[in-house]
Amino acid sequence: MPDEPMVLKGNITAPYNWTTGQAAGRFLTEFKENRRIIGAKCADCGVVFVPPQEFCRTCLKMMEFVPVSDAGTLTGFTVVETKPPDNPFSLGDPPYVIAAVRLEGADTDFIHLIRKGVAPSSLKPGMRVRAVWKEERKGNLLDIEGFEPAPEAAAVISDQPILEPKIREVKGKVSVPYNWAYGENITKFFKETRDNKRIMGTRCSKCRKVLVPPVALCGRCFAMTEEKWVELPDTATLVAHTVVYLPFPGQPQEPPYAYGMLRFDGADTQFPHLIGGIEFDKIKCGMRLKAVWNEERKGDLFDIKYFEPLRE
Amino acid sequence: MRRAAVVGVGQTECKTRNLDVTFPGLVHLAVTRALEDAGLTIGDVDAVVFGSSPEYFEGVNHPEFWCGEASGGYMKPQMRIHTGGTVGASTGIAAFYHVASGMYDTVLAVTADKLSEGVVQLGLSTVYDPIFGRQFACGAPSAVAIQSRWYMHKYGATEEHSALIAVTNRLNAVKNPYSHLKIPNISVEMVMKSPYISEPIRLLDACPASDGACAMVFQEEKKAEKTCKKPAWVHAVSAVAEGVGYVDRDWAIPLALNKAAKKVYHEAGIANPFKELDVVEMYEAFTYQEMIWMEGMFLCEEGTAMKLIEKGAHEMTGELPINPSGGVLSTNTIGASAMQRQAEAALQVMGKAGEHQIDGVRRGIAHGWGGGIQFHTLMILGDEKP
Repeated sequence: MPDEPMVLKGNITAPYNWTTGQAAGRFLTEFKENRRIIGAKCADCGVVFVPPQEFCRTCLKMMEFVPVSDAGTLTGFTVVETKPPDNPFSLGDPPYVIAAVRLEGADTDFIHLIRKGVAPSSLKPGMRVRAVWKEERKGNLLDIEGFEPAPEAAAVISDQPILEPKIREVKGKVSVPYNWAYGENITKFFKETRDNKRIMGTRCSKCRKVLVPPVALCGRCFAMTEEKWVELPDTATLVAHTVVYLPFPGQPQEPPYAYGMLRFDGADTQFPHLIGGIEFDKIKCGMRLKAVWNEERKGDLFDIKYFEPLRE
Repeated sequence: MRRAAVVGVGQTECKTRNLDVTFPGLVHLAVTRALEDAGLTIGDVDAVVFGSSPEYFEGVNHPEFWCGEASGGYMKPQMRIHTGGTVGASTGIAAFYHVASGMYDTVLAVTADKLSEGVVQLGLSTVYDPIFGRQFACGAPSAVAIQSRWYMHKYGATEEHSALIAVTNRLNAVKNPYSHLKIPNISVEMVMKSPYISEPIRLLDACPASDGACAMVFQEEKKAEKTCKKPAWVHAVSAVAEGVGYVDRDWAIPLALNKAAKKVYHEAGIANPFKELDVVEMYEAFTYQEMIWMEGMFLCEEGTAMKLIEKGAHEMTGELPINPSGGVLSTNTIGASAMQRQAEAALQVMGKAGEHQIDGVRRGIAHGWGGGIQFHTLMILGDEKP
């Protein structure tokens, strides 16, 4: 009976500092300080973009920044009814309404929200809407709570000078969970390491070389490996190594640590792992190693704690 | 296949953090400069090829969509290329194919990355296999450190050799207005005293992470001759990949580069590349790779690159200058880096490299490297029609 396939659960989380540049920088600065919406006008074709762009999208010329009204016409909208699980980008509990608004003075639609509390049934494309500003503004898009219907809203466009970009970065984070499937072969490999502390390899049906990790395809020959697996000892030779000193946010190991590519005895491919039980400056290419097994094994690379020098 | 040439090059100044422009803003700047250099307008461009590296660098997916207009691609055929570190070169090669195939006469290629937006080594570590190896990854440095150690063990190269390479590249960078890291007082001692980041790689053996963009305009023969007095003709291109974990892999011998080199030398009629090439622009993010790639490109026999380094053959005044631009060691946007090699080789051939111009360049080669040390690209450019 085939083994039930296993999955490695993981996550990639990374912090970012996005540059706002001349256009978005001014736009957000004006949001925060003047409750004003800024667009960018192409001197050549005259089109006004909101949010503003650094350059004209069609003719590539640099832009002049112009204020537009915070009132305009609802072009279209959608009601978000469900919240996908683990979605770090969603705006909280649904329902909420995402709207496209053509502001007075703009030639493109501005995408924002309809203010909470406005019944979606009261919305109609073509109706007049106006931005509802928050009292406390941080210089981000949500300084506007949302748009609300405002039949009488006048198109007031303040012509005071536009501020220089004071908001130069937007900080954020992307965090995505993953479930990496081992597939049939790697499931079998890790069941063997977990249950029997045993290293298993596959053999290429063409070149007869032994592959660990035991993949199903020998990449060099583009040939499948044989059904019969090869059992290998947990001893190996170190091919090449490094000691990592450089720290960075989100690093999986805390430096300094030593790791390398090693070749299990009887294998014809290299395998990465940590090197321990030895001073860093004593680690040498070609040295003999033995696996140090973890007491608790979950069926992943850390079923082996690290490799230490083999005392022969 | 039709003849094609590079008729314009545009680069941005590269730096650690460019707060003046967004990612699309960088792309736009390089595109504008390339068009200016060629004396063309965006209306003359038939198609656009865009390239950048893993999206985890900037944290925004689908960058070709984000930069579609910045690249000048509004209402034009657009293609996005992504081949890791080689992406810049693959993008140039794709633009060349667009022209050589007869599909389009004038094609703009642009590549960029704004590495300061995210955590570079974290982004690079996501390139590793999550099941086998990401657990230990320290971005590019740790993989190349292992490669470097492998090479040193095999052939006896030392940290002094790597320091000599660092010094040459860093001195060259001082002459390049677009390069990022400039250390005019660099010395072998300074390199060898800098701390290890991933042993044997020291801080000054490593590239910086840069914000920057590069664009090139490729044109078919008749138009190229009209646009440009001295275009850089594309004589041959090649892009070859090897695997990552295949049997008997030797990280000190880049088989993919061997194969790519054989192809371009054959097509360009080159029998002795060390003698017949006038300049090399090579993608080495870390010093030791210069020796490995020299051998991989058959500029010398296996295990002998260190002898050429000892003699200074790679210096601006040497027998075969390598990276007069200062190379990737001095400027690494990743996304644009391999294209900067092609652009710099083109500038050398066109005689427009400025202070780092090598006298009398007739033929140069541009190399790209990327992925899990397994992608290689080459492009030979010359002042005569192929």
